[in-house]
Order: sequence, then structure tokens, then C-alpha cells
Amino acid sequence: MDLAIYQLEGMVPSRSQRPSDTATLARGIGEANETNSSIVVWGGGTRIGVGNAPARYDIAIDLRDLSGIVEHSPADLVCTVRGGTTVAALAAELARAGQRWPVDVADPERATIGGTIASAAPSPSRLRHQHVRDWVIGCTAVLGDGTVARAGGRVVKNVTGYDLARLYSGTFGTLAVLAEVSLKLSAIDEAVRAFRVDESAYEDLRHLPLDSLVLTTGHTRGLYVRVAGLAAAVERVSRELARYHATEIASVAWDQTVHPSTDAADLTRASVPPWRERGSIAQTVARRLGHAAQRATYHAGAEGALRPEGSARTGPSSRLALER
Amino acid sequence: MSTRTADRLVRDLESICGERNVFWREEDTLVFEYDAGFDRRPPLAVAVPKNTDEIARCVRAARDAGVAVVPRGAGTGLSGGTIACGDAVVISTARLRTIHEIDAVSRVAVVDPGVPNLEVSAAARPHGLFFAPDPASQRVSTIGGNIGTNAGGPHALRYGSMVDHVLAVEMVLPDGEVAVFGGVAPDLPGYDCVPLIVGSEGTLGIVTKAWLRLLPLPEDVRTFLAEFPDVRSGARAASAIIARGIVPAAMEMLDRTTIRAVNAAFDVHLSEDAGSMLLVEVEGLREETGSATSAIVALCEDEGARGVRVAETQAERELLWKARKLGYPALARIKPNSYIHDAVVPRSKLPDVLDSVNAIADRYGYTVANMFHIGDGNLHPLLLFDLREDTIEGVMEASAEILKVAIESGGALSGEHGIGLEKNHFMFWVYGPEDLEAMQRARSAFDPDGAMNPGKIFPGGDTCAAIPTERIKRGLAEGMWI
Ligand SMILES: Cc1cc2nc3c(=O)[nH]c(=O)nc-3n(C[C@H](O)[C@H](O)[C@H](O)COP(=O)(O)OP(=O)(O)OC[C@H]3O[C@@H](n4cnc5c(N)ncnc54)[C@H](O)[C@@H]3O)c2cc1C
Repeated sequence: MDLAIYQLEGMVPSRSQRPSDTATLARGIGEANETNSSIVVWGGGTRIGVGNAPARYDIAIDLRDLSGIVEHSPADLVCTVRGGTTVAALAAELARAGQRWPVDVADPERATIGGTIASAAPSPSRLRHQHVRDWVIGCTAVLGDGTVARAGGRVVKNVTGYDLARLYSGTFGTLAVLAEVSLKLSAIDEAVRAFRVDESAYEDLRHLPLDSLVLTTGHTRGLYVRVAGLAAAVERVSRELARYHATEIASVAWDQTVHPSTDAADLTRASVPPWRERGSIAQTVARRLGHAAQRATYHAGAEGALRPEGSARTGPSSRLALER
Repeated sequence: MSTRTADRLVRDLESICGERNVFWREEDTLVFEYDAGFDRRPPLAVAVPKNTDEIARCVRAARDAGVAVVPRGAGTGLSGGTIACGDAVVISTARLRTIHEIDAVSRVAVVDPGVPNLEVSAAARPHGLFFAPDPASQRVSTIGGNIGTNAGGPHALRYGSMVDHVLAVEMVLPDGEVAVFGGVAPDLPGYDCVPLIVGSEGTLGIVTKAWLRLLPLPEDVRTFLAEFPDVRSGARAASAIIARGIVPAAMEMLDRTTIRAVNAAFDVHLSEDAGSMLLVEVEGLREETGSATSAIVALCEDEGARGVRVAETQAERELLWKARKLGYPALARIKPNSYIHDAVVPRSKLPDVLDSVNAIADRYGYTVANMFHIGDGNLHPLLLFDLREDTIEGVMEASAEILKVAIESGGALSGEHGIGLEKNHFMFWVYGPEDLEAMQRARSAFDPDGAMNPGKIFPGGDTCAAIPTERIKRGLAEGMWI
């Protein structure tokens, strides 16, 4: 077994596990707990480098075999999947019923559902669909001592005890391993179009019902927007965008532009309040990150997240809060 | 607890909040004995502090005296969440009522916990924004209470419940410290405890400030009523709409009992011989609302809808919603007492579950009214009765059977009212010991002594044992183990 593939910041674990069911996963974690070994949980590894380097690293637990769709109930707009299922595999299954889990990730073939939730993956369409956790309705999680604990359920509205499933989102595998998750779904949009628009349009665009708005600096510098929904509505919004010298771009180009890098190791994420004026974002970033902000991506809107690339780590966390 | 300890605590609270803002005489604490649910219990005392600092000092004083604390907003909760078990002190947020800021750029409202829900939307409106959670109690229920229960409302169907709209909270922790969780900027370093705090029913601390997400007002809104011959056909239509992937802004069902009660109370002139109605609202761009309306109307007709009434004016829309939101008082004219449950079921199961619910009510001989958030599967069967003739045992037994049907269909105990002390023992029906233990660990991280709103959410404890219905409820929860 080549343990080097689980290498993290120069640290290589002494063991790895690749469970294909929850019971085996739980046993492995329970044993690790008893021997006081430390674990790093791996999904597709697209965001494994975000955050601090682990203080200790004995075992890599690879979840990619804990995969598959447990249940998809199209009539309820919900599904339950195992944590190691890739975003692409889930999307393919859901598409057969005209449905989707509305979270865009940089590398859907590699990224797993569990890792996407656990790392609170930034998605440009948070502008329209909000946080990834808002599309999670329940989970089966394995806690650090191997306890298997469920939270939430399979219904879309629920106040039956603490909402631990949402809490786990963004905890990067430090509180629990997501073995199985139940998700809320939506219908696939009838039309999706992406544009590059004049940067001066930024303030005006706030008033349009966009799916995503991304501002980048560096060599792809520009203001990019995506419109999605009913064809007739997308058509009208697209016409309004023409006022800002919009040029349509293909979906491949969109993906390459808005997801600049999946190698999270050289990526600093800074969170900023949404919709702050373009100038002030640029200034704040420049002040806080200096040259690191040379190449940055800003996902605007309901969930603004600024992701300067190519920066060295900026301290104890590679995610940097500019402002509450 | 000794009277000396109690007296000393009351004096401490008075020195923090001022004498006028602390209640301890029986006649003064009377109104704090209950919420909008069924149970009641006098608190040791009630403190009404004026700001975060006073709240923190009250919490510390209670802690030093070894007395538990119960946060209270408007007291409109329906699951006993604000009832003081075990001689606790109630801390009311009634004097924290300021809207601090409407940030129209980042679309955030910064508000005190005692602000009534509707005031947030009212303040946002001039900026072209609104606050989405809209519990029917929104004129009085507070943001703090809405956070406590993860309140929903009709429009939670499209926009989600409170948890989707709270960006950050300031909270007084059980040890009296003040901490801020979450932020206007998302994904700050560290754990984001906001989704844990929202819906924790006052068991983790007292929320003293909240940063709320505001949304742009939709370009177009269409509201209409589809009329069905019976409940089953209406429920089938609702299931079919969701199955088609159409998620309206709101979709409510009114059954015949409700329709008649609402007609008697308001000038809405709903058709008296309808077996059920769906009140549907779609929002968005004109193209979207138009297309969704025709698709929904067609699906309703497929399921036997006899007619569709579209609200042509703003006044008519408001009338329809007023009838819905004031439906409970209207139903109170039928019988003086009522008992409401809040279970959620998978939406594909709605027709069968509703049949079972109505059959249970029939078998027990209660009039049942179903006026509820059918779009997200959130039932609100309201059993109507008269305590002068009926016993509470019978009502609770029928309610437990309804809960059981919901859970067996793959549902949950509560969609928006919370567990409180009303349903805590039923938690065993949904969760195993490990699941509850995981929640308990989260609680202990905040409140290792269990001093914050004890006796709520978690099953098995004895803190609320003095409440008469506690014994009945336990019996039902244990007897109908599934
Ligand atoms: C006629 C009627 C209609 C209703 N319709 C709906 C509806 O459509 N949707 C819905 O969701 N609910 C509805 N409710 C229930 C109720 O209004 C909600 O649960 C509401 O959120 C309670 O708010 P409150 O201010 O009254 O809180 P309270 O009843 O005072 O408290 C509720 C819970 O929150 C906790 N709490 C209160 N303030 C704080 C705080 N500052 N920090 C921490 N915890 C706190 C309390 O301890 C308690 O556990 C309705 C109630 C009535 C009577």
C-alpha cells in the first residue's frame, strides 16, 4: 500500500483504512481511539489541504469506497447517499429524475459529498442557493470514539433535537465523519447561461436575480455572472446583461474561471461580507494579504468568499476573516 | 431550595435589573407560568433585564445560587419550551427590542432578541428587502424565540426555516460569559455553531443579538386558492406538485372544518362545500410565476380541483393570508380548547398520512382541523375539545397516535414548534441512545451543569416531573414504543 498518496504537508501516515460500510468505519475509528492514534479523513482530497497541518497523523481513513446512493425519493425531492460518493456520481443519478443537489464544486469527479459538506465547500451559486449546509437534512456520523450517531432525518423541515448535521458542515472532519447524509434536492434548471460582463457593472448587478457572480483578479481578471432557471426568465435577464457589454462564455470556460484551483494547499480563503463595493474588497484584501491578492476570486452575494491564490499560509488558519 | 437562597437571588436580580423589572409574587409570575401550549408551572422569579450585560449578570447570579435559567421571548411557543421546570428563574427578553441596523448592501439586519418577527420585515421593506421566516405568530413572536425553535412559517417552503436566515448570534453562555458565533462573512475560521444554536430551544444560552439575512423582494407574487372535493385529492395534488420539482413559495392546506371556521370569522367567502383547499403562493420573476402558476393549476385539475380562485388585488391576497394566519383564533370558536401537533412527513406520503390522522381523530371522537404547511409535509392536526367535558388524557393519547403514524411514515416529531417539554420523551421514537448521547455531548460543551432550560428536548429526566401531564406523556411514549 502506497501511503505516500495520503501525504499531507510532508507528513505520511503509518496506516490507512478504506472501509466500505459504516460498521467497519466505526470499528476502525473506535480502535484508533483506543490506541490513541490520530486520524485524517480523506474524501477526494480536493480540499484536504485547507486549514492547519495536522498536529499528529497516524492513520488515513479513505472514504471513497463508502459510496453509493442509499435512497433517492424523487417525489419527495430528497435522497440519502454514502459520504464517499462523488459529486459527479450523485449528479448523474439525480439527473435521471431531472433533479440535482445545487452545490457546485471545482472537481466533481473527485470531490465527495461528505468532503464537500465537511469542508463547507465554496460554491459560486451560493448567491442563489446559499450555504451547502442548507441542503443537508440529516446524517449518520461516526464520532471520534467510534460511536455511530444519527441526526436530523429525511424530511425537509425538522426541529427534532439539535441539528448536528448542519453543525458538522465546515468542521473539516474534526468532530465527526459523515458516513451517510440525507440531502434536499431541487429541479434541474431549464436554462443556464454564463457571461463575462463589464466590471463597472458590479454595483448594478446586485439588483439582478443571478445564480452566481464571481470577480477575479490576475490573468483571468474579470467579472463573471451566471443566470439559471426558467428559459424565458434567463432570456430576459440575459438581455438586461447586454447593457453591460456581456459576452457569453461556454460552461467549460466558466468552470475554469470560477474554480481557479483545486490544489487547496496554495489557496487562502478570506471571508468578506457579501456585496461590499468592489473597490473596498480589493483594498481590504490588498491591505491584509499584500501581494497574495494578486490573483483572487471573489464569490459575491449571499455568501461572499474571497479566495486569493498562490499565497503562502497566513497564520494559524489558511482561512482568514477580514471582517465579521 | 431554601427560601433564603431564593430571597437572596431575588434581591440580586433586583439590584441588577431594578426592582420594577423583577417579579416574584405569585400574582405577578402568573402570566409567565405557561406558553401557548398546555402545561404550566410557576417560575421562582422572572427577571426582565434591559441589555446583554444585565442578562449576563442575571445568569451569573442564578448560577451562583444554583438556580436554573429559562430564556423567554413572547411566550407564544407551543411545546412548553419556556415553562420553568424545577424552580428555575425566567429571563425575559421583552426589553431588548431595538433594530440596530439594516445593512442594505450586505442585506443583513442586526436586531435584539425581543424584536417581534414582523418588525424586521417592516424595517427591511423600504430597502426593497424582506425577512423570509414568517411564523403565523409573527406579529408577537420574537426573533430570540424564533431562533430558539428554528421557527418556520408558510414561506419556509421556498426559503427555509430560521436556520437558513441567521448569520450570527451574540449569546450569553450558561456561565455568564458573552460570545459571538458565526458572522456576516461566511465560513470564518473555527466551528460555526449557529446551526446548533438555532433550534436549541434555549438549552445552550440566551441569544442577545442576531444578524439576520435579508432577501430582495420578489418581482412578482401570485396567490391562489384551489378547491378540492375532499382532503385526499388536495393532498394528492400537493404531492404531485412537489414530485414535479415545483417548489412554490408557500403551499398551505385548509380542510373543511378550517374553511367553515375561517368563513365564520372573516369576510373571505370560501366555498363552504369544498372538502379541502390549497392556498398557494408563487414568487419570483414574472416568467417564473406565470409558468409555475399554470403548471400548478394543471396538476390541481388533474387531481380533481373544482375551481381556482386567484387573488387579483393586493387586498385580496392579504385577506387570504389573514384568514390563514388568524385561522387558529377562528377555530377556537368551535371548541374552547385545542391541541396541535407539528409532525413532518415525507411529501409523497401525505394522502395516506392525512387519512390516518383523520381516522384517529374520528375514533377518539374529536373534531380535527387541518390547516398546515402541506408543501413541506409539516402537519398541524388540531384536535378541538372542551376540557369541561373531555379529559386531557384522551387528547394526548390521540395525539401520540398521530405522532406515531408520522414517525412510521419516515417523518419527524416536529417541523417548527420544537420538542420542548411536550415531546421530549417521544424522542426515543426517532433516535437511539447513541444519537441522543451525541446531542448531549454538544449540549455539555456549552452547559456542562445542565442549568440552561433543564427538562427540555432530552428525554428521561425528572426536572419537569411536577407537571401533571408529564406522567401521562411518559406512559404514552413508553407504551407505544416503536
Ligand atoms: C397562533 C400561533 C401561531 C403559530 N404559528 C407558527 C408558525 O407558523 N410557525 C412556527 O414556527 N411557529 C408558530 N407558532 C409557535 C411560536 O410562535 C414559535 O415557536 C415562536 O418562534 C416562539 O417565539 P416566542 O418569542 O414566543 O418564544 P418563546 O415561546 O418565549 O420561546 C420559545 C423557545 O425559545 C427559547 N428562547 C426564547 N428566547 C430566546 C433567546 N433570546 N435565546 C435563546 N432561547 C430563547 C425559549 O426558551 C423556548 O424554548 C405559533 C404560535 C401561535 C400561538
